[in-house]
Amino acid sequence: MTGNCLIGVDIGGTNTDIVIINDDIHTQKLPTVPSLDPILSGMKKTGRLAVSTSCLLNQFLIGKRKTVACITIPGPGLTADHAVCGAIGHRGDILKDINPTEVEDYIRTHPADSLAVTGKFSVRNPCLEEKVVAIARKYYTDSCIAPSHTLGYLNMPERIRTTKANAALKEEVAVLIRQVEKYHSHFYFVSGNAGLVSKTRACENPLSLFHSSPATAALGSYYQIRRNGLVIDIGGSTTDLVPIADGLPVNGPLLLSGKKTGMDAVVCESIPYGGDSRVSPVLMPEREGNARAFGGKNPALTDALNVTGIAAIGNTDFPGLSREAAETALQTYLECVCSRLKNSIQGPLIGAGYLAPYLVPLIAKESRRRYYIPEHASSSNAIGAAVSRISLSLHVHLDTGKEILLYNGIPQPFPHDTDDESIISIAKEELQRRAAREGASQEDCRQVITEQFSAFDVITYYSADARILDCVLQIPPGISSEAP
Amino acid sequence: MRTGIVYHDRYLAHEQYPSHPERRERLSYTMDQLEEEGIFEKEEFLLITPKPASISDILAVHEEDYLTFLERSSVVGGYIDADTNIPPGLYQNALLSAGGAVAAGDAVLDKKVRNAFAFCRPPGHHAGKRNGAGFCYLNNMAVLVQHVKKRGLKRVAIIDWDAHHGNGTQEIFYPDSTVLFFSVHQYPFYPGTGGINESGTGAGRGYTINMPVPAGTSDESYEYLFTEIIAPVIREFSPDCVTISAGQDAHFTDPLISLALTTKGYATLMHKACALADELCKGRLIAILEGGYSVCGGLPYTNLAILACMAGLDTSHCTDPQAYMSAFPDRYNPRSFDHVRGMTHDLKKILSSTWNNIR
Ligand SMILES: [Zn+2]
Repeated sequence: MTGNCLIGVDIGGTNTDIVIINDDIHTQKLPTVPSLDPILSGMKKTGRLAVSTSCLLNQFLIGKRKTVACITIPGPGLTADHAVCGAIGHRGDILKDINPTEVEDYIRTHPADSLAVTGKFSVRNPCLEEKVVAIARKYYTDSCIAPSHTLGYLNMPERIRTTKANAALKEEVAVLIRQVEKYHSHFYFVSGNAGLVSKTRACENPLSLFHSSPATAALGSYYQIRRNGLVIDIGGSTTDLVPIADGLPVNGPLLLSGKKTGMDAVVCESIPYGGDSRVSPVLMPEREGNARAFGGKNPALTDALNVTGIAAIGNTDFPGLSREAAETALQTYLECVCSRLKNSIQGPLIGAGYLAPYLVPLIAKESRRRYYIPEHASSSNAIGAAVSRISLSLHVHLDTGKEILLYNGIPQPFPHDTDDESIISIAKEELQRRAAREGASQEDCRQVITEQFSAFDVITYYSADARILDCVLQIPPGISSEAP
Repeated sequence: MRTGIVYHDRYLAHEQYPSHPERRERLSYTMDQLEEEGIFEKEEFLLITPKPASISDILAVHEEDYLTFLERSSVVGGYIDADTNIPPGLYQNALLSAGGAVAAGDAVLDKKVRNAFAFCRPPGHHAGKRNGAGFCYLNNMAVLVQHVKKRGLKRVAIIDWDAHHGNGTQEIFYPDSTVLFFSVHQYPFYPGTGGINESGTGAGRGYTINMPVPAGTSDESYEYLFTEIIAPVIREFSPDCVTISAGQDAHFTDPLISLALTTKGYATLMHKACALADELCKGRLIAILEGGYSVCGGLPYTNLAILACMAGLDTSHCTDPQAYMSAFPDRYNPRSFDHVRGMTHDLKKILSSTWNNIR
C-alpha cells in the first residue's frame, strides 16, 4: 500500500455507503438522494474510487423506461423484428450490403430516446452495424446508440436483448459518470461479476453493472472474514442470497426477465423483503419510503424488530405496530428466507447489510446453520467495491484465410505469427496491456484464464488453407493486490 | 412439444486425416450458425447429450466380426477403402455417433420431444452389415430403426435424401417389409447402386424404393417425387415413425456432387415430411445427419432451415445468401425434370404391384 487509499461507494435505494480503506476501514452511511453532490463533495479526493450501484438498473426495471428503437440485420436464416436488409456470413463476409435509404427511413419513422443496432454475425465483421450507427448519428447522440458487436459473443437474440438494455441505460451511466467526475476524474464501476470496469467499458455495456451491489456485498464479506459460504445481504427492499466459493462470488448467466443476455453475473437469489418492507398489517413485498424508525410513514420490518425488542434502531418511539403483528411479520420473513436456504449451497451464513446483526442470527437458528457477522457487515458492499480488482475479457476470433483478427468484435492489425500459441500469447499480452492501461497493478494483471477455446483448419480441395480460432481470455475478478 | 437437437462436442473429434472432406468443420460452421441464431436457448428446442450406443443395439444391425475388426483397428488405425480409413479412436466416436441416433429415437418415443435431429458424425448410410464404406462405419439409421422397433414400433419409414445412394441401409432392410426405405440420389454416381429395379426381396419386395436422378436436379423434381411417390406410398404403409437420412450434399454449393437443391428446397422437403408425420404418426420424426460437404457454402443454412421446419418456426427467410446464387445456373440442369418424370413413370410400374396408391 503506497499511501494511496481505496475508496468504495455503494449507492443503494435507501442509503449510500462509503468506505475508505488505508490501514483501517472507515465507514460512513448517508441517505441516498437524487444528486450525488452532497455525498461526493465531502469525500476524500485522492485514492482509487470504485462505485457500485443497484439504482440504475432498478430504475431500468421498475422506473419509467426510456423508449428504445431497435434495428436488426438478420440476413438469411431466422428472421428478427425490426429487420433491415444486409447480411454477414459466419466467416465475416459481407453477403449483402445495407441499403442506407431504408435504414434512414426506418430511423426517421421510428423516433425514440435511444437506438439499439444488432446484426447477425456482427461479431465476425462489425462493418454493417457501424454503417447503421453512422447513419443514426444524424438523429441520436453517441450515448444513445448501442451496437452489439462489442459484446463479442455469438447469439444474436441474446445480443438484441442486451443491446436494447444497453441503449436504454447508456445515457444514465453517462450522467452518473459526469456527476462523479466533477469530484473524482478517475474512477471505476463494479460489474455484476464483482470485477472493476473502466468508465468507457461501463458506458459501452451498462448492463454489465447489473447485480453489482450483491456482487460487492459478497466480495466485501469474503475480504473481511475469508470464508466461503452464503452471504445474506439484507437491504431496504430486498434480501439477496449470494453464494461464495473458492473466495469469489459464484457466477452464472445474467438473466433479464428470465432470459439470458450472454453475460455472466453473480448468482443472486433475491427475496422481495428488506428492512423497509411494509407491515400493514402483515409483511408486504413492497417499500413505501423509510421505516418509521427512520422517519417514514408506514411501519416496516425494521420497526417490527424494534417492537419485539430484538433491536433498538433509530426512533423506537412510534413504531405503529402491535407486538403480535410485529412477531407475525418477523416470522413470515424468517420462514420465507429459510425456505430459500434449503436449495442453497452448504457452509456458514455470512451477514451483510445494517440489519444483518439482528436478523441473520435468527435465520441461522431457524435453519440450524453456523453464521458470521463481519465487523463492518453494514458496509460490506462498499468494502467489496473498494477492494475489487480490474477484470476484463477478450473474445478472440482469428481467421487466417480472411486475414481477420477480432478482439471483442473489433478488427485488429493481422499478426505475423498465427499459430495457436502465438495468437493466445499476443491476445494475452493485449489483455494485460488493456488492464494496465485502465490502471491495474502488475500483480493484478498476472492471472489470465482461458474460458473457451476452439480451433480448426479450413480445408479446400484436400489441403488446409486457413485456420479458424476462437477463444475467450479473462483476467478474472478478485481482491486487488493493493488491498491491505 | 419441442424439437430435440442431439449433439456432443466429441462429434467434432472424428477425423480420418486433416484434409478429408468428411471433417469437423461440417459441424463447426453449422454450430456457429445455430449458436448465432440462439437456437439452443429457444424454448422450441431441447439439447440432448448422447451416450455411446450399446453393443446390443449395434449387434442388432452389424455382424460381430465386423465390430471386432473396427474395435481392433481403432487402436492403431486401419483401412476400409480409399475414402474410408480407420483413424485411431474411431470405434468410440462411431459408437457415440450411433448413440446419437438412438438418443434421438428415445427422446421421441419418451415424448420428451415431438421430433429430433441428431447432428452425429461419422455418418452411416453406406455402412452395411459387415462392412464400412464411403466415410461410414456403423449404420446409424439402421441402429436407430432396430432400436425403436425393439421398443415396440411396428413399421418405420426411412427417407434417405442424401445425394448418394444409401446402399448400406438398403442392404440391411432389403428383405424387410416392416421398414420402408426411400432413397433419392444422383445416378449414376458413387456407390453405383440404387437403380429403380432394386426394389427389395422376398417379403421386402416393393419396400425398397430408389429414385435415381441426374446431375443438375433441383427443387421441382424433389417436390414432384415427394408428391408422386413418397407421400402416397408412406400413407399406404402407415408407419409408426418417419425417419430421415438427412444428407445435405444435394445442395447446389456442394463440392462433391452435382445436384442443385436449394435451402428453400430442403425446407420444403422437411415441411412435407413433418406434415406426413403429423398426419400418420403423431408427428414422430427423427432425422440423422449423413453427408453434406459445402462447409463454406450452403450447409449451415440448410441445416438451420431443416431444424426451423421441424420446430415450426418461420422459415420465410431461410434461403441461400443472394451472394451464393451466382453458382446456381451452372449447376442446374433444366432438362433434369423431364428425366425425373420419365424415371417416375417407370418406377410406378414397378411399385404398382405392391402399392394400391400407385397406379
Ligand atoms: Zn452423401
